[in-house]
Amino acid sequence: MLKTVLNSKICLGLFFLVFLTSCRGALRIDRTRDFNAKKIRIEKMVSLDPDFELLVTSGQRSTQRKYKRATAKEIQLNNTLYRNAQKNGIQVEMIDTKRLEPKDTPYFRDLAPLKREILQVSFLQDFISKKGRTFDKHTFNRHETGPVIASHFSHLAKQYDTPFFAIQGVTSHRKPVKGKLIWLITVPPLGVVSFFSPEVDTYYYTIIANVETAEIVYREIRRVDAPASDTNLNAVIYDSFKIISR
Amino acid sequence: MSIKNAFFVVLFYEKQANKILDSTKTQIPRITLKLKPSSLQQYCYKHLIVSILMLIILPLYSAAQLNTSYTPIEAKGTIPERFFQGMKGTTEIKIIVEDERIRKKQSKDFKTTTRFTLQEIFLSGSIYYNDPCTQYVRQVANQLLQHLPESPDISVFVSRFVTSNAAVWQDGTLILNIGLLAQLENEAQLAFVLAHEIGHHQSGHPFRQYVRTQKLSNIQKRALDNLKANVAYTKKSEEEADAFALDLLAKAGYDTEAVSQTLDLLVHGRHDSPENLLARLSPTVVVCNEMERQTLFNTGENTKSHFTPTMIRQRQEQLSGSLSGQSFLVSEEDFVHINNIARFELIENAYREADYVLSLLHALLLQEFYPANTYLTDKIAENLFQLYLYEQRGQLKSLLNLNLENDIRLKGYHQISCSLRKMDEPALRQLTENYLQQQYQVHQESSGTIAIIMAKYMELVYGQKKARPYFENYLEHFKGGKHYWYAKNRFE
Repeated sequence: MLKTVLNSKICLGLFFLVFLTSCRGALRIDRTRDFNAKKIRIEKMVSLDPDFELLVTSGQRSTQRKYKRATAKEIQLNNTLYRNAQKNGIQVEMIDTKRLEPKDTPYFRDLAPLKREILQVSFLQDFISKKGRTFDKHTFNRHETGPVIASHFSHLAKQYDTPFFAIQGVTSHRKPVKGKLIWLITVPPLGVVSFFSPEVDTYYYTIIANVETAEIVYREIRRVDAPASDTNLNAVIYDSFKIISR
Repeated sequence: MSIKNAFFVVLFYEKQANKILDSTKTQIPRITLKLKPSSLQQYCYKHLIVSILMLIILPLYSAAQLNTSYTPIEAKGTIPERFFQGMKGTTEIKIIVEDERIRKKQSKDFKTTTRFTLQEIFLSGSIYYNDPCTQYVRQVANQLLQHLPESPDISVFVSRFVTSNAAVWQDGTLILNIGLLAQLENEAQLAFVLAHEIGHHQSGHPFRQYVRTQKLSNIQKRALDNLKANVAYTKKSEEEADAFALDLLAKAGYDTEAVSQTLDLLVHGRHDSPENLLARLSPTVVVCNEMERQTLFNTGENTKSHFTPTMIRQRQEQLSGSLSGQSFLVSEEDFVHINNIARFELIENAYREADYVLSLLHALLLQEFYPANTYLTDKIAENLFQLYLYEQRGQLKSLLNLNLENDIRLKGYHQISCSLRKMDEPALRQLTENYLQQQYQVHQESSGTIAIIMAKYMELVYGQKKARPYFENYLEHFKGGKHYWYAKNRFE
């Protein structure tokens, strides 16, 4: 009887520890004060070639298999983005480079330079708050101004019927797995936890630029300590669009 | 152009096209024209009219145009098939150096990585197509390829990257950066750069380099990413490619002195200025002396690079003997024109890559030759505004530090960068404002760029209220301009 109770308690304890490991993650959102203000309502946005990247490390499994998997996951990501945007009342126009045709010169003339500009500016500039601080430690940050992009993309707002252009994507990579055995020997309960914890980090990011105000208005990054499964991504993307559509 | 003249031009290009096709031994069918002298339209075969426009009319028109303005090259026309090949792998990647010790998996991984990397590059929008630079560089490449016993399947492209470099992949894709094309002095030097890369391809260096990186990464336990496999070649590989290039240059009839000249250019750069060009815009600009410049910038040799003076000297010594040949085989006139276009494109692309110092330096240097060119005036204004914008956001120093990682060795670059570091916010504001006010008085109704930059500057420094008349000016004079909807948004 005692054995059964002990066993069940151990099982319960292990289950609890495993449950805890699945709850880890992080979120950070920066947006301008005008974004989500009542006067702005995002009804449509253009998603510039959503990217799914499985960071490949050398000496591991077949590179070809990883690239194939990344391509398959990218199609899955596009569908998930489209579905969740619709659920939140946002129309998303997907620009997929895998489906480009010889006549699609506007992509290379306008959209590829815009994508590059948004990524570059997002890397080089920060959001600026009223007090002059560029970084707030809160998870949801509201700033006075966002990073400034070139204004010569403003004509795209009329061409695509929306001023909002987004860069979205997922990056998934393996975490270093050092010291598991040491943990197991020195602190057995924590060592057990480390064996159950997932070895993959998944990052989901969104950057939205308003080409009419020539500004990046929204930027978010989410980390999930789990592989990029359909269920995980679906939940994360739904939540992301929910915040954008507010 | 009369119908008779058009007839001869078409015939001339038919001969030229077939000559190139014969020399490259490709599977493309011969071009035959069915001439029916009833109308000009029937003479002008679809592809040849494009060639005529690109090779004759456009260069002449553009050459005259460079004195007054310049329009940067934009993507136009049908996108080449190469851009869509992606991971399908329609191009055969031959592993030339097969080492028995190398597992099969490695060559398979190498092919996948090559295709993936190229797919990323082609779809990034960094490669030119249907442009005069690529057309010209391909002509020079064909001059070389016809002298190889088994003509390799090399496809030449020009990229928007501003660093002085070129690269080849094992599938035969050769990419020449616009930054390097702008630095070259003659056709023979361009031929050397291309021959050197062909040498890497013919000797199978990309695969050897990949295997080397793989070994390195195994030691470092997944520290390196596969995509970064195409880093610098070994010294031995560089010397092999140099020797191959020297041989090919001699066979093609180019002046082999170009080898030494090009290697020198890679160290010192062709377009440089010892003086601080920023001081031309305003006498109040803080100028750094040589000591300050050297203290700020580590001018010592980077031991990992193959372009250090010592390494270059060693490479030059390895190449003994020089044969007299020609500096130009295709056309001197075309080279000068393409080189000028490349210099303008370098200004544009450095600006797009947020290397405002490099863009400003080349705009100021080129202004000596084209003082009335409005594009250069616009670009100087745009670069000054961007530098001030970063200064105002407190991010100028980090931007300048970041751009220095590009390993730019030009003295003029270091001078401007050093001055900007020493200038405080009011000094940079004064410099920017003076230049903008000066240009705005002259070009407020003729240059959309000056008009919008002035409006942006006024908003940034003095607020929305003071900027309103400037936005109004843009809306009034540049209806339908690229910044129109931005200006309208700010105005309202």
